[in-house]
Order: sequence, then structure tokens, then C-alpha cells
Amino acid sequence: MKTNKRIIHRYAKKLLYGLLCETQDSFLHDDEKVLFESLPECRKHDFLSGRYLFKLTCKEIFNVEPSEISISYKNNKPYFSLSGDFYNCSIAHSKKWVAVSFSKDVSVGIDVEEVRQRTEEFLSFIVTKQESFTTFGKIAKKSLPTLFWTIKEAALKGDPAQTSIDRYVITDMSNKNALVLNKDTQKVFDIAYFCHTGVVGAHII
Amino acid sequence: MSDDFSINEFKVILGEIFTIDIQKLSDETDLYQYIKDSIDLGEVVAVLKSRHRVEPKDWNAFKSCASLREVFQNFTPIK
Repeated sequence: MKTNKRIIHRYAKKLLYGLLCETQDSFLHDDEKVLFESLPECRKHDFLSGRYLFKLTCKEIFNVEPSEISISYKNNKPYFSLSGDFYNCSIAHSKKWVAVSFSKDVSVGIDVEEVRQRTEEFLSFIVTKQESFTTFGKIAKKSLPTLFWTIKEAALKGDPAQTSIDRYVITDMSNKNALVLNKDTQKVFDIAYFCHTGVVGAHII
Repeated sequence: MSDDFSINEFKVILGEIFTIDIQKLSDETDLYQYIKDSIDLGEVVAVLKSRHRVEPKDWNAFKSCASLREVFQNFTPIK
């Protein structure tokens, strides 16, 4: 997936951990190296893959050295500064998949998830009775709970109010787009999604 | 905590969701090996809410818990 609509940049890619470890000095900022070393082993893969894809994207768009950019967090949301400008970021991981999104002007939210069989309890939790209107077309039943989660998670990540995922409801759904409502604030998010064999992804548009 | 929700029951549920041999789970197991994505965490919480009426006391603290025991201790009965 690679889209470049308006000023939101979104990329998703499969990455290999071994290669990332060998090349980390070339793309991590000094502040990020300190943070990376402090992480438990099992969390390092996600950290490196997210940073790598981000830096690669920034290099392509801004023509800056990857290690010059440092991603920080404010209120649990990632951001970076470049040439005096503040950029909202969103990073998603799932197994070997990683997706990133950033924008100077608007809040961003992105999610990617590998599909696997989920429990009935999870299906009931994420696809509520309120959402049973939806005609799911060609979406495989196995993918449904993962897709609903991914769409709502993308909305949640880009929502400044950021409550819990059960406060979001899908009010309309077409082939590639969904509308998601925050039940507390009544704010509506327009989400684009994709659904391929074994992986689904969604982002705010 | 509900009377029937024990750390052993928690292991059984984790074994079911992530297809793990529960003999491999100790109280010190780092659950990040299994709960790698937010959706995995969401599924654990959905199953525990449904079967045992418990939920995390604090989501942010819950996400930073390292061991199975710490995660277990972060659950509280739903009021």
C-alpha cells in the first residue's frame, strides 16, 4: 500500500528484523538509540521496524538523513519536528507488517493487523448489534472481527478525544470505506480500509 | 476479583486464545511474547469481560505490565 493523497503520507511494508538490527545506526537518532537499548528484547522488533519505515518515508519526502529525525511522544501520541514544523504521526505493527502515517495539518490514525481466527467473545465485543446492518459482501467471516477492530483502532488513534475502542461504532460501510462515530463526542471519522488474504489495514482519510 | 477467576484460569484462557501449551506459561512469563498487537490485548480483555466480568484497572498501566502475574493483578471486577 502506498498512497499520497493531500498531505497525509501512508506506507505499509513487510520488514525483516535481522536486516534492521544490522543497519539501525544508519536510521536511529541518538535519543532513539538510548530508548531502544532500554527496551526488552521482545519489544525491539516493533520499535525498529516502525522507526525504519518512518525514516525511509521521511527521507523520500523531505530529503533528510533518517537519523536526523527523532520520534517522540506527547499524550501517548507520536510526533516529530522538522524545520520548525510539528508533524502528527501514527505507527502500527502486526507481526511482520508495519504501517506509518504522518501529517503536518491533521490528526492521523493508521492500523494494520494480520488475520487469524478470533474467539466468539471477541466477535461479539467488536461487532455490536448496532452494526449488524452492515452487508459484508465478500469479506470472509474469519477476517470480520479483525477488520472491525482495525477500522475502529485507526479512528481511535487519530481522535484527540481518544477514549476506549468500545466507544466507537461503524455507522456506514462500503467496499473500501467506512464511517466511524465516537459515541461520546459524536465526531465522525472517514476511514479507508483494505482487506487482503491474511492482512487488513485502515487509515483516516 | 470474581471468585472463579484465578491465575490458573487466566493461563487456560491465554492458552485458548493464542494456542499455547499452558505448561509453558509461568507466573513470570512476559506476555508481550503473545500479546503483541493491540487487537490481541483487546481479545484477551473481551474474553475476560465476557466470562469473568473483570477488566483492566488502568489500561496504560496494563499495557506496560511485563509478567503474567502483573497483568493478572491489574484486573478488577466490572462494577
